[in-house]
Amino acid sequence: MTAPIAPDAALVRQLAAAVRLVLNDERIAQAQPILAAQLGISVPAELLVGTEPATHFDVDWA
Amino acid sequence: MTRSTDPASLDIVTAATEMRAGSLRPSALLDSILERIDEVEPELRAFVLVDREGAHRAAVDLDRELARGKLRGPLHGIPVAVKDIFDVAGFPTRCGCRAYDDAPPTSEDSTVVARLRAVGAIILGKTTTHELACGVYTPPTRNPWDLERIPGGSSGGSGAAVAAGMAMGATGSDTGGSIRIPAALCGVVGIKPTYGRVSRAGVAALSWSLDHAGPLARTVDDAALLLQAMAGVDPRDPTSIDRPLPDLFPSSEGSLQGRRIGVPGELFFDGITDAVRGAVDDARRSLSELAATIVEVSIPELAWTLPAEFGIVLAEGASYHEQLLRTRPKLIGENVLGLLDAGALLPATYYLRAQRLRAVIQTAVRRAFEQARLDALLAPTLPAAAARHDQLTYLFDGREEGVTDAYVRTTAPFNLTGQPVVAVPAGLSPEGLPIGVQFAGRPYAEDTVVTIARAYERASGWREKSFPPRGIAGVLAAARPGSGKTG
Repeated sequence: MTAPIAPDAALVRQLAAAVRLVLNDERIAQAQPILAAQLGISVPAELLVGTEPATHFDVDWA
Repeated sequence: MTRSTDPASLDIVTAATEMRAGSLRPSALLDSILERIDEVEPELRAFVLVDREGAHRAAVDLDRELARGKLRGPLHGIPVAVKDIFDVAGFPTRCGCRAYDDAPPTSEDSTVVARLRAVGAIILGKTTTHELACGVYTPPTRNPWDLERIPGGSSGGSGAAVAAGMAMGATGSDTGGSIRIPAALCGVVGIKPTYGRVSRAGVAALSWSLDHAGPLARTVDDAALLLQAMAGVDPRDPTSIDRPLPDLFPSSEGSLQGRRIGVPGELFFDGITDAVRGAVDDARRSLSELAATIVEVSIPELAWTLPAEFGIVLAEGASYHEQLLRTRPKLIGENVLGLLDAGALLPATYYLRAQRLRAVIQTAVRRAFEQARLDALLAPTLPAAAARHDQLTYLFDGREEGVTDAYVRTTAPFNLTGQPVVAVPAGLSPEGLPIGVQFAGRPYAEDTVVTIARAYERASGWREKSFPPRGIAGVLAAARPGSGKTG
């Protein structure tokens, strides 16, 4: 499984600082639950085997 | 030839027939549409701009051409509305966002708009979008079937305008359902073509690997006519594909003999109203009566749809709007800003994981098509009818689900795969609100899904019952006695 991360407001603030995005408390409060939801998803590693992204999304099987 | 029906109530095919016969002129059709806008737009607020002057100029030119015997095709003189993320020369593209309130007029049409004009469509104006095409509510637009309900989004203005007869067709974009969601909630037809089929040049992006441009219209034939005009490779869009659009109007059809249509379980039915489930069952019966073979299929990998969709949309959306996020974040509404901020902070590995989940889903859907030899999938477009403006969640079998998640859950699988989809009305809920089904086909096989959707539309009879929408019927009846008839 890929490990879930549970970002609290402090971690969100740290991440924002790392990418030089200035977030006030309101923005952190909005972004935190959305980010937490994404980071909280566990995916079985075996599911992803062989799915390394291509440089295009060729869906032509017709 | 004379006509008893108000021209704004005609569908495109009928209007085109009347243009050919000489009983309808582009300017008369436009006048009727503008009158309809005057009547119901104050209630619906589907437009951000109506270009009366430009539309009149175009109509007069097209009148003259018609008088000289020149008919550009079935869209000659047909008034069409454009979602306000598509560039229309001479007007700003504001994307429903205050950050673009001061945007200058664009100098060039988006490719889609240019192509529509070239075949004689009249560009009426621009319709509302949920902010930055990132949401399903599209305030302040109201649903023509019930003014207390949302029209869906993000192409909500286009859906409401078409349903109310304020435009005969409209453009939309679909990143996680944004054409099909308003189509289903407003009771009209929406086509999300194969990824790359319609140029995105001159269209603001949300998530470039998921964005699809396409039409909304009142009937499958009308939407197909619009798609024919919009489609085609475009050097201005590197993601557009150089592959001819198949014939969407084959001469022999009606029966679906030999067609195999899969009905996937799991994701689509795990949280759904009884009315929508019933509509899908009815559609299965209709298709069987049309001689199609219905096949139950299982695609459990679709359970990863929402993590894949949101992982990609958040990251690509944040990337596309990076400068805006840094320089003018106060001009973005708090809900969309929260999504984009989250996307900006999402680790790269999570974006890549979402893309890998997408590959898992693509492979699984392809396998289902191949193993069951399917021509298309049938699924509910959405699990429920339109939410109220202040509604945040649905309750399905005691389980709460956010309105956005509920809508995107059933539409986004086909953004992830890139398959063509036609969403069609499939009846009314007990509250009298539209519900819909969608047909998803093999890549580049728009002809197959259009054929199936057309046959279903005719067999179901919903087309005849879809106008006028209940929420504005009173306004229309007062303004134009007899306008409830369709062409």
